[in-house]
Amino acid sequence: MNEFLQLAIAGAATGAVYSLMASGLVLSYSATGIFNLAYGAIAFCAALLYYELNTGLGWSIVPAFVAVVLVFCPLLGLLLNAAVFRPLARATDEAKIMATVGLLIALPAIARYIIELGITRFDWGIPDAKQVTLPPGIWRSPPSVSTLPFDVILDSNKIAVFVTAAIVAVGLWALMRHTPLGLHMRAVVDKPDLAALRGVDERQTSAAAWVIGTVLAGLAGVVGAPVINSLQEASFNQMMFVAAAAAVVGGLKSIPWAFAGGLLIGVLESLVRRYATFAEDINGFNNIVPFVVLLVGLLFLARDRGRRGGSVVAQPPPVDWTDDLSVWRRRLPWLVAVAAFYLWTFVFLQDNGIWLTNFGTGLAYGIIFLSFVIVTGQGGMVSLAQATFVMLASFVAGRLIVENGLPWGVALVVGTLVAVAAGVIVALPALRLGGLPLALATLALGFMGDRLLFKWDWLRNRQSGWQFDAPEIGPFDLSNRTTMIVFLSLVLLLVTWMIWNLQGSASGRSITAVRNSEPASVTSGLSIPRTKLAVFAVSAGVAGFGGVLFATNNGSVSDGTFVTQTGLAWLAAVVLFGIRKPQGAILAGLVTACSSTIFTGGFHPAFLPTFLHWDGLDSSISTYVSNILFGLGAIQLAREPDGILSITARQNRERRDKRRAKRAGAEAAAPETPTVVTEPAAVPAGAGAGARDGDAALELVHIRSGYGPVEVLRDVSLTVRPGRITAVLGPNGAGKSTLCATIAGLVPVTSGELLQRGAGVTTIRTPKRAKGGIVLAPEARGVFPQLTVRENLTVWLPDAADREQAFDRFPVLRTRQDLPAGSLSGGEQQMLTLAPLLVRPPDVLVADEPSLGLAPLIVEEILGVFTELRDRGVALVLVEEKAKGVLEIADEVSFLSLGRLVWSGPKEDVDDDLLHHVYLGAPLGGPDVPSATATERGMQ
Amino acid sequence: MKGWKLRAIAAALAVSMIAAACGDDDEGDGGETTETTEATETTEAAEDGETTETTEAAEGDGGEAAAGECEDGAEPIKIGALTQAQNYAGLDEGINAVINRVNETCIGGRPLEFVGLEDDGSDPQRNLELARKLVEQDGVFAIVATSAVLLPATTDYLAEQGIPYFGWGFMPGFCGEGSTGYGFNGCLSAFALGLSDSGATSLYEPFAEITGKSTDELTYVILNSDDDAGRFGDILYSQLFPEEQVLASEFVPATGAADVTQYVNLVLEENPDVTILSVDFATGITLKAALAQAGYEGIVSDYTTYVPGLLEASPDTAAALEGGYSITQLPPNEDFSEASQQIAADLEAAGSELPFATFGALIGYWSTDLMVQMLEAVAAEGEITSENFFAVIEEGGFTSETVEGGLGAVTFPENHFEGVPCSAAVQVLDGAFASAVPFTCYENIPLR
Repeated sequence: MNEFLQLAIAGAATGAVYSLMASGLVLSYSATGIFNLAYGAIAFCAALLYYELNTGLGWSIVPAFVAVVLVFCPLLGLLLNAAVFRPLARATDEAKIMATVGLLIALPAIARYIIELGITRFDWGIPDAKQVTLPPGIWRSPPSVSTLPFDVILDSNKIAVFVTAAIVAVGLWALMRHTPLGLHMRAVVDKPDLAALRGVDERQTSAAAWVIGTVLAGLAGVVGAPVINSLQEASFNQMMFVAAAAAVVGGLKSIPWAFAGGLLIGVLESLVRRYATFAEDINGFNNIVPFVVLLVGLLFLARDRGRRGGSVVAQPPPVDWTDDLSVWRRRLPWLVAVAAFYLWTFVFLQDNGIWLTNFGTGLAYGIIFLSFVIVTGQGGMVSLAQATFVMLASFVAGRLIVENGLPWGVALVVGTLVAVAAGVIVALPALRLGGLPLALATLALGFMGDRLLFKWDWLRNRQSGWQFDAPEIGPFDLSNRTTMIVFLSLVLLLVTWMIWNLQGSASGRSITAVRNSEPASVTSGLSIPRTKLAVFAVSAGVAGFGGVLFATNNGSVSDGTFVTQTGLAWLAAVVLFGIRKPQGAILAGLVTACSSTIFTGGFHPAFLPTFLHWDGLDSSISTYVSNILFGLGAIQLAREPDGILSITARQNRERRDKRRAKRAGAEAAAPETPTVVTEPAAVPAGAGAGARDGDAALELVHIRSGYGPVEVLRDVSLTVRPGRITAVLGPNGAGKSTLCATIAGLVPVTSGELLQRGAGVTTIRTPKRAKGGIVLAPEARGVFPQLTVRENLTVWLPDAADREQAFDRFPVLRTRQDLPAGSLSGGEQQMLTLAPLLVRPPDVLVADEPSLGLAPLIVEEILGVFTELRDRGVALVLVEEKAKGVLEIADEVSFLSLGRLVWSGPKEDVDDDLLHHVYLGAPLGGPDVPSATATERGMQ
Repeated sequence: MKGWKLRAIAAALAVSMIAAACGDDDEGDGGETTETTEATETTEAAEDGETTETTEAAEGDGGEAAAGECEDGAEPIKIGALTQAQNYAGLDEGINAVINRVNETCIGGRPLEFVGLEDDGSDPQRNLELARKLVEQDGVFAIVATSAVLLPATTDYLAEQGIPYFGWGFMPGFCGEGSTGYGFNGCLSAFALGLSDSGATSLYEPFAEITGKSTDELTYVILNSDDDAGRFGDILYSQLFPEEQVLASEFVPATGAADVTQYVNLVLEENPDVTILSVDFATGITLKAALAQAGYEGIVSDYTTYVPGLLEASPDTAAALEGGYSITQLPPNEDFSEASQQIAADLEAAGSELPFATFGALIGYWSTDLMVQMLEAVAAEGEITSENFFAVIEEGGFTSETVEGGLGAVTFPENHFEGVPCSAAVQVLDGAFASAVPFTCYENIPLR
């Protein structure tokens, strides 16, 4: 029993480190929607800095700790927030994952590079930290050991971890439950748009989340380094992946559960090590516990994930920036590049074995990288296990050739098929998961491959691996490097052709359909499991196929050739050059292969004069430099799914367009821009459009707005006065919600002006507008369902006395104050939405469909609230589809149809004729109200 | 990759103990005259007068080409180094120390040129790429190659290209027919590769000296890392040590084994004379500290922690290792032998700023020293070409010269198939290594 306890407690110490990381991961994920795969890299940087300050420069523990955790980490958090995470806020899941992968690669390289420069260039006199035994702790150095009851032995480093973890757990709980910041963060997590409408600035909460998250990572790094006994970036990354498992235990949203998950994994690891004696002979069995937890956790987690596979915000297809050019001109650059490549290969490089090998390697990488184009570029799923397929296929092929003496071609086919089978197995969880969980699942499988499968001597032939002799295939003697290049080029061409065909085929279309919308695909009769399985299987097959070719070109494969983390670097490289087109992948392959040679060996082509030659970098520095370049590139380009190639193409197009415009301008007096000529809507009465009106609480002046290329509001002008109710009525699709969102600032104004009390607020962001008095009660209840009733009120009414007033006004809310708002009835929720407004009346209140779905009695009560607000001087805009209730209390009425205000005037002038016209399109008596033209309908 | 890296290092170090390097016998009474000493004399002579008599340094029968004068405009013999920089800091300084000494007189009239050190960052693929770079771009004649990721992918390539490489022979590439690798202590993985049925008594003889007990009565607990090296070590130890003397043997996880409680418990329970740690570096340090703190009074020893420079760089590590032993295949600086003084002098002469010979410097030094001896032997027979090199060394046979307190003689091609069974024991006392049993050659005995 004592032993059990000892092991459990000792394991919990490691677990506490996981817990620290997991809670930071969950906090930042839930507050910002970005799961930071670079979390371990941040922890590593903090631990490294602490080591350099403490051990290197001899700072004592406290100043070093303060400098790292309380100064460096918050600054790093702010920097990352501004430079990396904020721009990603609205990006797709894939973009987020790929950007954090880029960060994971770049960050440690930057840290190492700075240290290297500091030592070699600036004589900082610090250790290079490449091999640190016993990283320093934060309590006693060297650590002391205490014996606790039950003979539990703990050293001071572990006690420090426990104490830190406990403090953090309590601190986080207090922060989230009892501070305005915590409340705001939870509000943003719950409903980001609503939070903005309630004056919560997402930018601030996001910055705060990253600062806290980075501090937690730093803490985990500093106190964790002596416990995991390492100062290598890779061990911190693995720690992060284990923490991801803990985060999954917490459903990726519960900090306490994530915390417990970390402890649980630590304890499990320790106990399995001791008691799983049955597995003693299985090499590596003890090392896979966290990844089993991750996988199992994900399978359960998948159940209640609302968003599903390819939860990609529907991405527009890649834009063809060259569609203005003739076919010949479009293909010319590629033809020239390919011709140059082969000219170089056959003419200049014939006696240069190293470059011939590189080109071969690059082409083999190209084939492997095409698998990313299939699974991520086309399939919209991020797979982090591609290296596993590569290794698996090459091991199988190696064994078949070397041990079983099978011909190379047979081994290639079998290896590929095994990879396909593995792909199907990986895809099984993918059938239910999408986006992030899928990426994590593939990662778990990848690590289980590294740690268990590829430690299986039967498969990998011990450490030595398998040596391949290049075969002769028909006319190709692959031991000749040039022949190998030709052969690989042909194979590459074949695979590319296959992908192009796939893109244009029915299967390609179903892949796109499934990726963009699963429900829609199902209704179209597509089999989602089959499509996803097919994508994964084909991608795995291509990766495996490329892997065998790589091993053949390379001459061997061993368990160290590639690991899962290599696959992450590959992903960064492909993202950099464009993950949606085969060209990008091929280029990425060649650059990956050649960059390492250029960085270490320099560049000495015979046809260039010597002053253009370059001798390269020191081999350790060159690794950092290439990691920094690829990593930062991937961060930048994660949102640009077509990579560098597309950016270049776009810039060229813009240049061409400009040139053309100039030429056209010279030829003829420039005609007007082809956009629709603005024709002011006929506004028969009252609204005083376009004139600035000092008395108005809110004025819309010729407002146009919409979503990207789709314009919804077209030249809307509206004036709302204090103490008046303006009803905006219109049928479905008229642009009512867009009008509300535009007033609140959720949808940007493309032209026109928005004035509040005569002052322009067009460019002011939503939270500030809300604080300034323009408040929107959104459609479908403005409550945070996960927050309690009291917390909902607190977001708008931080003062307890104000909340009491609200309870007095709606006593039913008081009785439910500790319930989550989501459990209230519709009417109660609407009361909760309006209650704070009665206590602190805004300047302008815009209510989007306030009566939707409510019982008539409740509607009456709600309308009563509106009249009360009007009487207190609030300017109200009530936007409704149904005219009935609102017309009773409205002072002014405007009708919105197809994005235009077709009629505005006092309520008294509204009659059935008008209503018929607006809702049913019946012709109106007067000639001055144009009905929407057919073309406008088309545009809608 | 770290777990992987650690395992690779552990693998490297543990496999290396199949046999141990060797110097003179434990009396330390001289052995043969030393190559290095003579070379230094030559150096001094060269400084004194224009022409120097060739000492009998090399085989002597090659005439004036063997050693002596550098010829103007002679093409340098290019040497490269391929390593895991993080584990072998100072490797280049050790190499340069030898080259600097040799270049006073050159080899066959030709100077040695060190083209530089390449760091594979513990990535086998990179190791291969860098080997290609050294061979095909830099045009090296030979390589000092010491890395736990020097796998057959690289060594097969080097053999194919006819490039000899020199280093600490713990990787399989230093072994077997057709290998162009020369370990300064032979092939250390012969048993693992099935090339040899013997094991080195140097693995345990020092324990008898330390405890004063006979090797027949010592008891052991052996902790192996749960990886290739550890699993292989387990087989070796079970055949080398008498069954009844091994009280327990356990596998310790190879990745981030933060928690060692259960192993400490095991040792306390069995209370052996010697606890042998055949685990990765970090875990070894943790275990040593934990055993000491738990009050275990027997000897704790490993085969990996004699790393000159380690204790100075990290006082915490020194504290954790305090009192513990390590058995090493390298002649320790702390023996203060002729060999270690020579190394210190050569390093200083080459302008090294190292305060002492670090682990990496020692490996670089001994590797290059063996290379130079071989090149001199080749030069004595004729021109230094790849072809001649293998003809002289492999077909003619080669035995290295030794110096007092230095490595033992290594003979090729024989030592492609067996290691050299020598070792020393050091103890950490007051934060520094101290000699416990001086560098001694034992024997290879048949395994059960």
